[in-house]
Amino acid sequence: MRRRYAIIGLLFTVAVAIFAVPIIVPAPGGRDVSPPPRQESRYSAAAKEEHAEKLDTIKRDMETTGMLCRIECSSDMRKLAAAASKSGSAPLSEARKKRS
Amino acid sequence: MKDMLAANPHFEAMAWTSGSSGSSGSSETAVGAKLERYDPAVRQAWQEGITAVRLGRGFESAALPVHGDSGYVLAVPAGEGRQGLVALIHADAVDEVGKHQRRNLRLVPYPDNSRFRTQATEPGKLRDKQVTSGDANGNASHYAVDEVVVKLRRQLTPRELLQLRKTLNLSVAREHRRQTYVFRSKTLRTAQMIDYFNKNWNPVFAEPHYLYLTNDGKPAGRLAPLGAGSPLQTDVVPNDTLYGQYQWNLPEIATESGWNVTRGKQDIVVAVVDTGVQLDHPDLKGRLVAGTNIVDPSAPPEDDVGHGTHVAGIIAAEVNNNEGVAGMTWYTKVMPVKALDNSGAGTTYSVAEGIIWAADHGAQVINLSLGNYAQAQFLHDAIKYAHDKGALVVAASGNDNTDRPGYPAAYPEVVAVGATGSDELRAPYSNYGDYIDVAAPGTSIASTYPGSRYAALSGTSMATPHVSALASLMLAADGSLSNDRIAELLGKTARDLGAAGKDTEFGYGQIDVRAAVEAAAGKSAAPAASKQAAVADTQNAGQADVVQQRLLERLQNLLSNLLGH
Repeated sequence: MRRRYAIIGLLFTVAVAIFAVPIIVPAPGGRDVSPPPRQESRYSAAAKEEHAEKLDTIKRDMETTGMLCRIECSSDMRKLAAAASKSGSAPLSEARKKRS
Repeated sequence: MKDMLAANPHFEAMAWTSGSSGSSGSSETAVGAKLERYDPAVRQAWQEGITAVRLGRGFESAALPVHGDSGYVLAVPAGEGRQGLVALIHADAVDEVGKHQRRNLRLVPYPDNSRFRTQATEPGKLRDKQVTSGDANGNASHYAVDEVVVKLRRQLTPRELLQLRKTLNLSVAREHRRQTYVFRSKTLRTAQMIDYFNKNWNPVFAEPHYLYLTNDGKPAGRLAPLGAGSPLQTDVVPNDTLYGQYQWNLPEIATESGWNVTRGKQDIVVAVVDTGVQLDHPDLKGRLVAGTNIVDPSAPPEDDVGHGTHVAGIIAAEVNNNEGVAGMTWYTKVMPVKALDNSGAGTTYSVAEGIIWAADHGAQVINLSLGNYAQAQFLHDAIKYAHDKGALVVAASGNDNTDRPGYPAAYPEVVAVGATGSDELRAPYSNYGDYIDVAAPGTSIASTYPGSRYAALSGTSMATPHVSALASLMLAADGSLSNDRIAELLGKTARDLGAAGKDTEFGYGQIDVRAAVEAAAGKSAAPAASKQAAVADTQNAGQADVVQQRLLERLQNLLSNLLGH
């Protein structure tokens, strides 16, 4: 009887060990039970990079637009000034005029 | 000066000044706003400008505070005397571009629209999803929650329509040929209406009413018009003020040498279905044909956003007129079709109606710099209608850096366009995927902007009109080309970028104007601008030679044996 209990106890111990060991010590290449924050942080890093790139694009668009404005306005003014200089009069004679 | 101020509202004040600095004989004639209204730094810069001109020099101030934005003072001397112009300029375009591009590149959530209650859904499903950041726009489709688009199998009788209105508490928002309706309900939501119509009417389709967003006379030039086949020895470099320094995009795709083959024709029309166009922009005057305003049919298709004017300028800004920018074509006409409202958004119905209107009014090319991630059958039907009428439909892939197919770009009848930068890489915002056909420059593209101004914008919205403009040049080279043949030649003549052959980032590659118009004109027997295709052709030719040589050798051996030699 005692021997039977000993065998049952031994089998139970072996069974527990078989089920418990893979849970405590993951097999190499086995299921990764670690939580997924790494993936999330990788995703958010990519999203952050994309966000930064888009902001950079917008900044460049604004800077270029500023330059386009200056060049085109300057060109328009030069044309007007040249025309006025040729005609020999101010481009607006009826404007309010103040002597300094 | 008054005319200039009236035509250019960003000029706040202007003065003509003459005489030596500090002398009693100097004078100043000023128009515009009074300087007392501005920051002391502005008044100081103004005085520095006056002094500079009277010393015979030019002047350009640093950025100054103007109306909460930025501005600057410019001074230019004139002639031999100590005289010239001084102006205070409000650089409002810079701030507008910043706001515009945050939306265009999807860095902000979908803008509020007072006329539509909008929610985001998973594309293709009606499961609500909140869009709380700009990034989330990439996975969202937007629709009016109290509307449905239904195409019935027959026209409704007035009695049936009345019955529907009463039963479902409906109003008819829009109606197309008495068969397709946009219904709006005071009590039911979209999913409930779709369910009702599917159960009771067996419609062709019943779908949400989606919203689509922007995705982000003869020239006075000295050169004569050039038809297909006319010879010209050297490339044309336009004299437009901003061309040399800022329009990297045109030389990048061999536009100048393409102009040696054709510069377009006045009877080719590209419809720009967008936010409208500034109809009196000095760089677009004479290049527009009559258009329409779908959003407000009683008003002209004026641009109240900026997007459509920019797109139109890429296609058709006057070339070689000593002003602003050069478009890709010299004579192509633009048909402004306003289908997107002042928030830059338009519904399925508006965009579809705009496409149908353009096709019915003779547009050979239809430019759609807009998109969403939802497939709408009504929109697809409109595209098929335009395609069947012979129009080439070109659409932007989208600015969310995603491989999720965007529509209308991903429809098979549409040429889908991705964007590249000056580094010839896919632009970081450009969508990608199997459906991309070709790529074109899309980053920091200088073009026309409302208020008779110019701006640089980025997006697949900007890449798309390059392809539309090229299609119009190809039609000028050979007016008998079908839309499908043009689409085919666009791909065959594209310069392969990225992975060899067609890939998900660039499609067949970046468009090549010279190669495409030559192929269209029938000048190149084998239009294979693709490097890989050219290499493969050479290899195949070499292999054929070897096989032929071996056969000859075997034949000679056989003859020798037979003849006993």
